[in-house]
Amino acid sequence: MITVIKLALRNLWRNKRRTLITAASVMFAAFFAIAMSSIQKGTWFNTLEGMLHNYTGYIQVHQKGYWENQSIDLLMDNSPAFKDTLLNAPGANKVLTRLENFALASANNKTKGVLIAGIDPAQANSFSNIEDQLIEGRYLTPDKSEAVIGKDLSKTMQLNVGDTLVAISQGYRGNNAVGQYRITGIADFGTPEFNKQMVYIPLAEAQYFYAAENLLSSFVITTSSIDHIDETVQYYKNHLDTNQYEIMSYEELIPSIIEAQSIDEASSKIILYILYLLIGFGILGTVMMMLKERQYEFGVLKAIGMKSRMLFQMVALEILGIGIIGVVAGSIIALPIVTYFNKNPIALGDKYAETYEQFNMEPLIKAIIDPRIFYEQVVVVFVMVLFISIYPLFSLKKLKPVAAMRV
Amino acid sequence: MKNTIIKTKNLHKTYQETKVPVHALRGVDLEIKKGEFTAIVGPSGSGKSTLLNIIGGLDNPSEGSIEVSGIDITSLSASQLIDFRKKNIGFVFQSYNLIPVLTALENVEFIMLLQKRDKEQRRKRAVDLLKAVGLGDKIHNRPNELSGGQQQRVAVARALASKPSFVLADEPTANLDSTSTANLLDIMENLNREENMTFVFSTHDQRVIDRAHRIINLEDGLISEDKIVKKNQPLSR
Repeated sequence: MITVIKLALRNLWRNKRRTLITAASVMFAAFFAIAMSSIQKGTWFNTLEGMLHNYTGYIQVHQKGYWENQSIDLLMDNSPAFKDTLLNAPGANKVLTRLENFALASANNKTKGVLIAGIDPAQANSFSNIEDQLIEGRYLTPDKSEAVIGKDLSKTMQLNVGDTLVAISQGYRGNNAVGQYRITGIADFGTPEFNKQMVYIPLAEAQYFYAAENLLSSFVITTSSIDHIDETVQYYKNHLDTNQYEIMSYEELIPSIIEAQSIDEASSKIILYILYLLIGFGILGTVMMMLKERQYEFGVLKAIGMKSRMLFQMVALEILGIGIIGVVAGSIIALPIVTYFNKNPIALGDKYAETYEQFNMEPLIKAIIDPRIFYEQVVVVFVMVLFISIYPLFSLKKLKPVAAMRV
Repeated sequence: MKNTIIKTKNLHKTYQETKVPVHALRGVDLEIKKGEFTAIVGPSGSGKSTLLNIIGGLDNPSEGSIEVSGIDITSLSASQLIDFRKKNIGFVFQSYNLIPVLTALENVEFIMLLQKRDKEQRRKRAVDLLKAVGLGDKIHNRPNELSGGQQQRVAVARALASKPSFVLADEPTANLDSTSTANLLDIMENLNREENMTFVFSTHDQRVIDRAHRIINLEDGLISEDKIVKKNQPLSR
C-alpha cells in the first residue's frame, strides 16, 4: 500500500498543472460551501440564540394549557421544592422564574400593547445578559418599580431613561392590574419582536401588578448544552405530572422559527448540492481525460504484472488526493473570512432589515465558526470521490494491455 | 537436452475490428527452448508483435494452443495471467515504458514488490542488476534524467528482476542509436551466455538480427523460415 500511496503522490506531483487546476475547482466549491453554510447557520444561530437567551430559554414548564391560551389564570406556585426537582434533571443548568402577560402600556400620548415579564433580575441576567444589552441607563434593582424596555418601544412611545410607563391589564382571577414603572434602562435585545414590545420588571413587582402573589407563569430551564435538551425534557416527562404541567422544548415554543430555518437550510443545501454536482462533473471530466492520457502507462503496468485492483487504488488515491488538497485549501481560505464575519457581522440596511424583521430575525449577517461545517465538506468530497472512482474502477478493470499499448 | 519453454501449435489470430477480418497469424507452430537467443523478424504487419503478445499472455489466440513453461496459458483467467506474467515473463518494450515517477532503482524493484519479495532482497537484486547493465551510478535517477539507451537498460534490468523464465523484447532497439544498441545487445548477450537467460526479440533491426542465434522469419502470419545461425556458447565456469 505504501508503494501505491507513493506512486499516487508522485503522479499528482508529476502533472502539477492538472492537479492544481482540478484541486482549485474543489477548493472554490469547498470555500463557497463553508462560507455559505457558516454565514447561513451563523445568522440563524444568532437569531435563535437571541430568542432563546432573551425569552424562551431551552425548556419551559407551565401549568397545562398556559402556552396555548396565554391566560393569566393558568399560573403555578413558585415552589422551591418544584424548582429543585427541575434543577435535578440531567443536563439542567439553571431554572429561571417568570411571570409574564400582555398589558397595555401608556406614556406621553401613546398607548401600545406590551409584554410585561417579571423576572428575578440577577437570575435572568446570568442567563440573558440583559445588562450587556443595555444601550442606555442601568439594569433593574430587585423589588423596585423599575422597568427595562426594548429600544423600538422606547422610540414608539417616546420614552427615555427616567420617564414613567403606566401599564394596565387584567390580573389573576379577574383582578384589575395597574402599575407604573420608572424606565431605568433601554436595551437592544437583538430580536425585533422583543425590541418592539418587551418590558422587563422585577418578579415581585409583576406578582403585585397581576395580583398573583408567589405565582409564576413559567419556569424557564437552561441546559448546559443544546444537545442535552431532549434528555432533560424526557426526565421532566417522567418525573412531573403531565396532567398538571406542560413541558415544552424551544422547538415547540417557537415552531415557526425552527420551520423557517429548516426551509432556508434545505434550499441552501440544494444550491450546494448543485454546486458540488457541477464540480463533481468537472473532476470526472479530468479523471476521464487522465485515464485516456495515461492509457498506455496503465497498459504497461498491467503487462508487467500490476493488477487492476492496485491500479484502481492508485488512481482513486490520486483523485482523493486532489479532493483533499482542494478541501484543505478551501478551508484555509474560508477560515479567516468566516472568522472576520463572526467578529464583524454585517448590519443590513433598511430595505433588507425590514425583510429580516418580518421573519423576526435580527437584520445581521453573522458567520459561525463551527468545525462540523468544515468536516461536512470533507465528507461531501469523500463521497464525491467515491462516486467518481466508479468510472476508473470499471475502466481499469476492462483495460486490456495490448489495446492500451497500441495507442 | 534443452527444455522447451514456449510451444505454440497451429496458432491463429484474426482481428475483426472492421468488416474485413485481418488474419495476423495463420497457423504458427513454434518451439523455443531454454537459453535461446531468438529474433522473430519480418516486415511490418507480418504478425511479429501479435505473436509476441500472445506468447507473453497479453493477447489471446483466435485458435490453436500455446504452452509456456508447460502451462496452457489460454486456459488462465485474466487475474491468473497477470500473476503468470509477473512470475515467468520479462518484458522489454520499444518505448522503454518505465514508470516515470519512479527512479531507476525503484522501477527495477517495482516488479519484485509486486511479487511481495522482502525489501532487503529486492534492493540488493535491483542494485546488482543495474550494475550489471552498467547503470550503477544512475540508480537514483528518474527516467527523464536518463538517455534512451540508459532507459532501455533499466527496462532490461526490470525485465530480469523477477527472475523470469524468458524475456520478450518487442523492437527493443527501435529508438536507440548505434552505440546504445550495441551496448544493449552486449548486455543481453552476456546475460544469455552467463545466466542462460532466454531472449525472444521481435525486430527488423539488422543489428539485432546479426547478433541472434536463431532467426524466425514471419511473413503474412506464417513462419516462412526458421534457422539456427549461431550456436549458443555458454561460458565455461
